[in-house]
Amino acid sequence: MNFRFRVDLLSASGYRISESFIPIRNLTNEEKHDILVIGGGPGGYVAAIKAAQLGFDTACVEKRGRLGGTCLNVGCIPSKALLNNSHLFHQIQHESKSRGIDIKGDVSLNLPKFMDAKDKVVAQLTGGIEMLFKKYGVKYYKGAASFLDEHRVNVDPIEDGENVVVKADNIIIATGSEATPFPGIEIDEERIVSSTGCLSLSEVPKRLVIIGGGIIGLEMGSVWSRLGSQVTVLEFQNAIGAGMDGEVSKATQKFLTKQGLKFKLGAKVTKGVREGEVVKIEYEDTKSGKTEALEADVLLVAVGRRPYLKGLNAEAIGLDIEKRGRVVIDSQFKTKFDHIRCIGDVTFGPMLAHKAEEEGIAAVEYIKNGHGHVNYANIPAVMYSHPEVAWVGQTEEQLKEAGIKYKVGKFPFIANSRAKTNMDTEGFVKFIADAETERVLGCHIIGPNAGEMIAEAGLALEYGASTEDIARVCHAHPTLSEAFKEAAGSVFGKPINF
Amino acid sequence: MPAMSPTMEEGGIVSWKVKEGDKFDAGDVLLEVETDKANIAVEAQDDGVMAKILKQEGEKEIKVGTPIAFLAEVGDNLAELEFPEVEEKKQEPKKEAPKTPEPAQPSPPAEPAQAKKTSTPVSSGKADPNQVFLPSVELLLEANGISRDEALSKITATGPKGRILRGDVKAYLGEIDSSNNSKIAAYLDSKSHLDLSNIELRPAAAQEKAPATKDKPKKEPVKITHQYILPDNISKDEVVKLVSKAEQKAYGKPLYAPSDLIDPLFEDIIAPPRNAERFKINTSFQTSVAEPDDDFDFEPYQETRQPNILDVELVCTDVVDAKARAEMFVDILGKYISRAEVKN
Repeated sequence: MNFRFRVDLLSASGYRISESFIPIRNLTNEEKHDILVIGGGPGGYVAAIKAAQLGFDTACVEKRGRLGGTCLNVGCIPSKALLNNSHLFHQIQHESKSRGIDIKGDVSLNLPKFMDAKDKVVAQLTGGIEMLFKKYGVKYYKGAASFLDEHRVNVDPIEDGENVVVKADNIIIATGSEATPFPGIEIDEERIVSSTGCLSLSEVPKRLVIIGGGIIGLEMGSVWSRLGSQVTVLEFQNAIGAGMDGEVSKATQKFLTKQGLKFKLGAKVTKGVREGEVVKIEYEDTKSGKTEALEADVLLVAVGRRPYLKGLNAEAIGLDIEKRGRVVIDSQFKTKFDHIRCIGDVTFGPMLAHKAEEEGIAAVEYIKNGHGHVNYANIPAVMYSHPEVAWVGQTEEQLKEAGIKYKVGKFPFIANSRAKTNMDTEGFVKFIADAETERVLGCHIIGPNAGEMIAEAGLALEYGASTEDIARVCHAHPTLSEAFKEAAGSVFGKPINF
Repeated sequence: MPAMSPTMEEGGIVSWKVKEGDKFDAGDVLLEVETDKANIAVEAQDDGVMAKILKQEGEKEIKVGTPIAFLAEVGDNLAELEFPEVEEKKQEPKKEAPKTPEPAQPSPPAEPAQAKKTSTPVSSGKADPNQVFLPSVELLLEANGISRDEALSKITATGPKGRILRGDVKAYLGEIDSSNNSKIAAYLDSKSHLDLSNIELRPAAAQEKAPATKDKPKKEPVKITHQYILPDNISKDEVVKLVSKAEQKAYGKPLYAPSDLIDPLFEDIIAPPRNAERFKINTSFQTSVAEPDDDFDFEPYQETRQPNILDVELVCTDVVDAKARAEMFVDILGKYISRAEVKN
């Protein structure tokens, strides 16, 4: 299936080749594929593997040098490694005694090894994708892609190698996103960092200030607070958690405050300058109008992410790009060209790895059979603090705005036997269901393992289940998921154990 | 086993008229089927090849809908075909000719059409006949003595892919208003797609700028020029006032109308400081004289006359929204000038 158009006109002609002609051979190094995926992140690599599985001659270009994109290299995966191990550290430090475990000697952090553990996981996982590419026959170009024309993409190799021109019948753009810079604040990834730098600090900062109380900011805040930093979160809006259900957002702020994080809401940052080894920050309290000053050893800028198209030369083919930099697509992920599709963070919708994966599969299925499926009403979001916060479907605020009558059922983990035995009882499961039919409209969980538990709510949403349906499904005892069942049961009935 | 009559439930195979590997044309007799009433010849509906016979001659009491053979398309390589696993289904005999699950192209005409209908995201209201009922639905049906068949044929399904939901049964029972179900279904459906409406394209200039900043940091400042025709009744001083008023307005006004895609709070965060200089304004006045109709009309009163043309040149700084704000200034000043004309 691998068509190679290595046109070597000169040597094939049989005439003596004059030296001046030789460079032309490089230009003619052209490869042809059915589908070319630009970007090897969660959207791109999944699309490439799926395409290969469906029988397409598929190639994937990635310029990072490692597959997996932001998610695996500098996002979801390394942050979860830090979150998990910092939680363990914190637990050993603070909970051993109450759990009857005596520790002789000091419990101390070995930050370089701590980071090694994270890097090892990242290397294993990114290497794993490369193996999968080999297994399914996806051709992997390590280089930077830029459009020559609508069908041809130049690949400029990152390691030594030749320039390759890849010609493809179908192209999928999955170039992802990058951290949005904060105007006026210069990121040096040392004292003033983005999420990337914050994953690899060389020492635990005494004072960490975070601009942005979204998921990235709060997760990073959790990590460094557990390791000993004094963390202050500056959020412009009046609630943290970017789009969380209002009640959940407030409860989240409460438990994080209990853990030692400080929050300044309605804070508009006006200055962030490094002076030697200190960062000076100024912000305006939007309520009082007063300007306050802060000092930090490290300032994390986490105000969101923006589409990434650098070097793609999208202008060359006149790709439509909207005001916020997102590539314009239709409902089948097509750009203005039928054969060029675009998925993931670089286009519309929530910037989440699992959303990009779904789109990657759907885009390939559209190419193969003309139909694909992504249900945007059912994309879960998880914050891996402790306890975790996870949600899917609609929030109370959204339903109020849409004028839909709903009922809420809640069950606290303090009344769940497994949570009790684990001595880990913070949080609750909250169901929102249609007031008349009990159809599940949303589910919001704060609690241990919320991120795993939310999958069941997704299944319920996908099938149009009512809360009664969930309550009537047998859940194992003793498990945390009993709280899930009980919460569903208490939308219209009464919980048994509370 | 094909249904040779509406009442036929099972049949036997008297004889196969083609062997595995045999080619046949549309209309050829493939086999003879024995029903409780008669022996009937089954003709091929399309050209094809007999790929595999599952039920041999002499087998009896084969339920309608049970696969009895695989047919392949002409030209298929039989050696390479993979046959799907055949399940002996007892309930719900399928109506369509069972002899046609062609591996290359599963297209018996009746079935896919129906399958397509039920796989649309918003249910057409017709219940998927193959669904397993949700526990709440099963219970409600049982409690109210509604049979599975009645439920499937009479209840409007508003769930995904023709699924009957608890609310659908409640509406069927008259306990709730059925419009509620469709309202919820429509709401969830609207949320299930990306909102791709009201997309505002990035101005072409910004798209060109992006690579420019990358390739060569030195770039020409963007200049915007505009010529305004001034009404007669407005003085130079007034114009100067309007210019500074428009400048203030252009700095303060939000750049985008709020929409689903634009979050004003977020825009505000990422916006450069309000007092950062976006553009320099150079103005020059001209007085143009109408071409004299005749030579006699020429009078030296030019100097004293009000200027009637204002040339504005805006030199944008590299603040990100400089050009957008400069363009806004041009619009605002235009409005002010025409408003001044009306007022005076």
